[in-house]
Amino acid sequence: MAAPLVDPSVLPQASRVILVRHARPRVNPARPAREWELSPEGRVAARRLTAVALFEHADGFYAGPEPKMSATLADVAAERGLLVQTDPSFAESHAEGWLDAATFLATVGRFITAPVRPAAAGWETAAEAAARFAAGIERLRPDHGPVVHPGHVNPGAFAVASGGRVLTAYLSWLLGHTTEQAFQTWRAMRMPDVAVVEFSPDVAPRLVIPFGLLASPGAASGGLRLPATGDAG
Amino acid sequence: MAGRAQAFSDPEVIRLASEQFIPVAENCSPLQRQRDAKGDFFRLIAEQGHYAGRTFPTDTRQGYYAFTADGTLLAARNSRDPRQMEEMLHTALRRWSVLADTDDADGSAPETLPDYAPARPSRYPEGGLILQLAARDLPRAVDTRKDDWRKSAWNLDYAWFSAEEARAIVPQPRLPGSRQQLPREVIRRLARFHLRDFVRGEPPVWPEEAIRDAELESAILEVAGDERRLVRLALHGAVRLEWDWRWHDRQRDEDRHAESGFDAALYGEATWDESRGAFIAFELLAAGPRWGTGQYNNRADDLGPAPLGIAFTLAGDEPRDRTPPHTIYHPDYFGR
Repeated sequence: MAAPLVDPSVLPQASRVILVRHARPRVNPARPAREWELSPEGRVAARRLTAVALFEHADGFYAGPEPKMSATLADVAAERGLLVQTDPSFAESHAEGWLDAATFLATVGRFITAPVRPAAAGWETAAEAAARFAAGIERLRPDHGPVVHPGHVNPGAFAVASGGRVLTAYLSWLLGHTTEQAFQTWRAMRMPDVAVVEFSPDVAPRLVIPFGLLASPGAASGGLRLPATGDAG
Repeated sequence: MAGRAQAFSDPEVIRLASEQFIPVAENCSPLQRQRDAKGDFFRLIAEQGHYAGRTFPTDTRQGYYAFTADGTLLAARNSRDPRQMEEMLHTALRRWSVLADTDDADGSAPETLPDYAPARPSRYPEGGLILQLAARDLPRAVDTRKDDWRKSAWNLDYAWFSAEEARAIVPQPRLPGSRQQLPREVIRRLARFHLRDFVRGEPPVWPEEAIRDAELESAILEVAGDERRLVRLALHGAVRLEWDWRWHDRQRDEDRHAESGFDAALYGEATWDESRGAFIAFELLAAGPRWGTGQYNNRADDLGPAPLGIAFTLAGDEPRDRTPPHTIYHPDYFGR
């Protein structure tokens, strides 16, 4: 029996973005971080993402220009017969120079707590990075509309791989996070990691699955993380 | 339940599910809404699956989910087709092997689990009367039903009564010939929550106003056994339910309604063990014409009137016999 025709005007116009933090890179202090490739561990973790059913919903795969970003999603996209499209909107927040671990963490702290000021010389501000990232998302959302099945409708969805700083900045801006919430997002993030945001007309964007909730799809299994009761899902 | 009748009757699906997975059955309607760790965990899985983000025509998350213990969904589907179920299970196993092949963990379970405070504590009536129900269409002289799975459909449910309610079913004094109407609360719960057409799907709960007639009497036939401890009862009655169900079909954007009802005669026997304070045998049959349909009980093409039978028997002692009644979370189930 054919599915009844549905008036398109009654279909919910929701969309979802699957945000992906890249897998672990091979760190090379002699080269800019934006040129780093995935480490062997990172490539294994990227391969593991092919086991995550969540990506079945994505009909587009995008990444910032850094090789580690597109490499994180390459296997997942290939499994679905798609290529990862690079987009400068999704680059990591720009940073200059090599910082030791302690200095780097302190700089990231300033990046989060003072989003309109450069955290260090040559660093893009969190506000600028979030705006750039958001513009890319908004440009792509109309291309990934609701998916109508016989009997039900799913939000359209696409996946975007990028870096932890810009993803933190974007989510903080999008969801109106406090500084503490922004820090929680940053601290919860692993390599790789996955979050899902939903957009619906006339409703504030909703974080459906936060970073750090799915025991890292690219990490060794064995740790059970129960989400806190709340709006997750 | 349609899935159980079809997909999970398939030998290969049964083999895969029982040998390669840990099967878990849950009622997703309350689960997808309950505000506790279990509900959060289900929502985490469901929002990765086939109905992720679904709000039209409903927000159901019903279906089948194959997932890891840490909440990563491997595959999901909502289908009665055993071949599609088999494909889903194989997809899950393939993805599981990807995780296993690339995992350097020793696979040990977490050392501790957080305390679980259920949003809905169990309402199981310890020491009470636990009945299993089986519902099916009865033979009809002229059968115009489509020749598909629904023609031979049947379904199960459970009914719960407290120990006090169970005891009150047995007439006083405990002498042959004693008779009484069952407590109104017992009759009400049977009528509203269990004399429903759930053969093919999920019917709504009858409102109180749908009860047009409800009588159920118990009569002591015999008192026997050592020290006169076994009381054998006859059960006899009639219940008539009528209601005009109304709902909005979101897919068609139409208001719909169906005059519905069930006119049941009830017969049965039971044995009460006075020394144990419990029934040791209970058989009650409700049979008669049903008509109409609800939104979700799959009767739109079989409006009747046609004969329906619902059999109530004592539930066993297996863990599955602690399955709550389908309507346990209705606020009126245990009385207002």
